Amino acid sequence: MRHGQNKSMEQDMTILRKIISKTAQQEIVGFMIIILLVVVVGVIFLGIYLRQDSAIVTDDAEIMNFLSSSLRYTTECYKDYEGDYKTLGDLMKYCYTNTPITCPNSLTVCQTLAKDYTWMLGKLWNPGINRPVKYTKLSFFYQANISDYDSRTRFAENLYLGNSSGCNIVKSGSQSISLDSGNLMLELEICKGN
Amino acid sequence: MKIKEMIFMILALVVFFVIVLLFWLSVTLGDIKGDVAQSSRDRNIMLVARLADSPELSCGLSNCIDTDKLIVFMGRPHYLGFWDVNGLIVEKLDSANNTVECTLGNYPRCNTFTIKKPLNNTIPDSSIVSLCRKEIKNDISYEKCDMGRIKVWSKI
Repeated sequence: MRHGQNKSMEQDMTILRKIISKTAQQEIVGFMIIILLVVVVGVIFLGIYLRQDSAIVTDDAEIMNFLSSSLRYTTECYKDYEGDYKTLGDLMKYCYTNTPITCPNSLTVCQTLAKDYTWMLGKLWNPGINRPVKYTKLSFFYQANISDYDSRTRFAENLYLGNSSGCNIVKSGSQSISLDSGNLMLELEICKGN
Repeated sequence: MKIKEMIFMILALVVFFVIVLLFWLSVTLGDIKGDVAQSSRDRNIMLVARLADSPELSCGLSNCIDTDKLIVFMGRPHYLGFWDVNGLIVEKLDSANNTVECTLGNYPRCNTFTIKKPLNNTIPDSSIVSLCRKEIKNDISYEKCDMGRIKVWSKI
């Protein structure tokens, strides 16, 4: 009688072990599916991330070359006599010190500075919604100390061409002109789409 | 049962390390890729700018081409092999919308100096430069500088 009971219990235990084993196997399969999902999602994210270009670049070589060359650009403004033509770098100084000089079409120094830079930026990058370059922003600052950003003050209006929609990669650069006291800073920011 | 527990543990560890590895890879490789692209572009621009700074072209300042020298170069075909490049063009930024090739006859009322005509249709490396020349107004000589772009088709 007892022997029969033992046999029955052993059978029950075997069935129970099989059930437990089957549940464990199902858990492993579930776990493996989760691992696969995590890996697939990770790889997708990695792929998307690697396709993106770096978002902000400072001291871009092309912008630096543009700014240094632009300061040498000879304008049609002159101070004392015709032939004494001034560069855009000179115009920046005159605009800051509010010195009157003769410019074509009776424009002021600051107006001529803005006009010439607007023309150049438009010619070189031609920013716009359906263009590779979305916007260009040129800023003029006076800075008492070149490393002291808190001391900067704007002395002419920013020149903003284009629109920031579709902008992905911002590149920038700056150039300075030394004065007897302090520096004039010229900063250009360009944004390109993907 | 113990083997199953061990398998669970190993799998958990693998998942953990895979996640850590993915995170690390996405951060480091993402930055490196952007940095490499930017530095390669900067290097090409600097190489082109260095060409503009060569004594044969330079106006004496950095990143500045003397167009009076340039026009003389163009009239001497035996200088074509002087720069080891596939093509070299200097374009002046002006209000004209069409290309006017510079020759000794029309200089400086032109906007394109083709020193070496590019051999293929590949995209050139380019840099923005000053294009300076001597001008005379009211018997006064002065330096007139325009903006320009130097384009170089490198030999691969």
